[in-house]
Amino acid sequence: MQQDRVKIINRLGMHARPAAMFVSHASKFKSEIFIEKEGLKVNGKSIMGVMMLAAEKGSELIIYADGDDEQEAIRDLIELIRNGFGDLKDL
Amino acid sequence: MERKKTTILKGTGAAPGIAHGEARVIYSWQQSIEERAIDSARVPDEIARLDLAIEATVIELQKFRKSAGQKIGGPVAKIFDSQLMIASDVEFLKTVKNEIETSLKSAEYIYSMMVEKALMPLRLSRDEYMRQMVFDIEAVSNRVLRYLTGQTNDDIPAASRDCIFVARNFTPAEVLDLYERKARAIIIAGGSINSHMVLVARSLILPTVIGVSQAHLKIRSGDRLIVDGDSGDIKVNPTDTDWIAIREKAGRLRDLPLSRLRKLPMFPLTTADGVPVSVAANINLPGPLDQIISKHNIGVGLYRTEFMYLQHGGYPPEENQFAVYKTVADQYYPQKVVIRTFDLGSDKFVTGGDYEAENNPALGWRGIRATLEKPRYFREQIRAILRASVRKNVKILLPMITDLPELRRALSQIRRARAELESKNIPFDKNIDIGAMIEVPSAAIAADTMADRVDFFSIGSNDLTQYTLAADRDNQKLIRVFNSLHLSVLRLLKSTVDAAERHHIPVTVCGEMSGDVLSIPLLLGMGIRGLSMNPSRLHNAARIIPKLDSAAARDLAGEILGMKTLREIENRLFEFNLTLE
Repeated sequence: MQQDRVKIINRLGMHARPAAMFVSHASKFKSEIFIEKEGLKVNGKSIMGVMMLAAEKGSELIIYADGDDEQEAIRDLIELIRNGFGDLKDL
Repeated sequence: MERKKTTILKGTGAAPGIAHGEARVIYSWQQSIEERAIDSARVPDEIARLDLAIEATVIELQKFRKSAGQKIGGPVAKIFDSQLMIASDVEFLKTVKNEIETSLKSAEYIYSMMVEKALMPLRLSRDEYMRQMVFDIEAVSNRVLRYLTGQTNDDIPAASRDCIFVARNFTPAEVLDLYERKARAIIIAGGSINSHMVLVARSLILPTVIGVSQAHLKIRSGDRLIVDGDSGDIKVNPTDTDWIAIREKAGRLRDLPLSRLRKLPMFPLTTADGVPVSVAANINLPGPLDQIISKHNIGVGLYRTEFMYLQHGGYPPEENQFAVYKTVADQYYPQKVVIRTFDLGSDKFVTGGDYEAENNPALGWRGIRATLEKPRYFREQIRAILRASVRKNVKILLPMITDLPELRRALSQIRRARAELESKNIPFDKNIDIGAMIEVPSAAIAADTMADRVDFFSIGSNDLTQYTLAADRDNQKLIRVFNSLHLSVLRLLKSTVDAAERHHIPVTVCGEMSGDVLSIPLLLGMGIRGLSMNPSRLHNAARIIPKLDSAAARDLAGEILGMKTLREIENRLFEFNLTLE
């Protein structure tokens, strides 16, 4: 199992579109993926679950990946969040 | 049988056309699920039923997505992707199945309960995209429940065709479904004019009225309805005389928008004395109209790009934009397509998201002033438009320009975007025309300061009228105040046209008045040679322009501009129209 911490930097937090992006990325991996926020843990491949987290800007998440491709999964997902889900164009 | 009382309901016309038919009212599912206990031996069966219902839902959604792709086009079809993602949420289903096993209740009860639990925090969100997600989740769960319960009472009955459907709200998928069942019109109690659902209805040319308070409670299934998708009026249980009359006009009225388009002559149009007038269409999003319009050699005078922002839930990536612009440019080639950069504001599309609720949205953070604060996004859109201009039939239009400094900032960003493409040897039309929308009074008053910086002006007469008369065009109480023929609006138009003429640049009017039979002679008489209008008005231009003599129009304009009251102006225009038609 791999895990890593990451902060949400998007001004609007993890709203509908980033949540869908996360689930889309996570679903590509064989590993089990979980997201934890303030003790609440949800399945990273479940759009309903990820939306319920309602992670706002500044909230710290722990991403867990467990499986054959766990290292690649963690790298991909952490980078996705660190890049603001491709939204990092606000100057 | 006692005749039911006739009532009139009012809403907002969202998609044009007049329809008549029997009402079918659709109620929400939440009311019909009972809490049914089950035997532990039945658990595997319940789980199997749930799986079947999900599978059927996914297949149905995939069919819609494909159908939407064919009928409306790729970009709009993407609306169904989020519903597919929700329906295919395997992990959520696992939790539902576990709960069925633990609590020993029926699949439909547990499923609807857990969906509602998941929705509760989302319903409170101010984020518009979150609320759209709520609709999508409800849409998916309604479908699943329909399969689970096999109920047809409050369902959209499979046999129901040729009806007018009424509900609290409909999702884009449901609109497509209803269209395939030959629905004649759609009425909803809620809804927003800029929602996905309205975009889909418009692109399918399905008459729609939204915002009819408690429509699903005031109308009963079986009621006869006459629906006007332009005015937003609904007549419930009309008199027998009215009903027979509308039935006779039926086919004509429903197909009127489409058949009028098909019967258009080939463009361009010229006046009776041979002066060419460029007449083009205002387009909101790709749809079945594009084919019909381009076949008549009609171009696009205003291509609104906001639908992409709405669909994407934010500024869309360059590649997505390029794909759409290229498709449009190719579709209309060799006619010109004028693409307007994002004109978004808190009233137009979203509250929450990038465009937070404002006290005065019309005077707020919107149009070019908003996009110039996000220059990277602005240049991204410009690059996408430039790349689509390779066949030299694309123009760029900048919305809501306030003054010269703002225009210069925009042009400077455009120069940067051009340099970005040139450095990568990506081809585009190096001579592409760039125009400014004249809709803010400050721009109209000082049009002469900008006429030498742009290749054309496009007058947004709706917003210009709104700002000049300080009257919200959507405010029912101000219907008599808001009028584009007001002398102050006409004076601003004239000064814009004069400035343009002094600098030899063309002027197009792209608001509602450009398609109005009374206003067209006046506009042409003022020296305007370009009109862009809602496709449903093109037939007006085709009818009036060939009958018009440009010298007579010029005299008319001279007269009108000397008048002091709206009543004089309207009377004279009405009189003039009688001599033409």
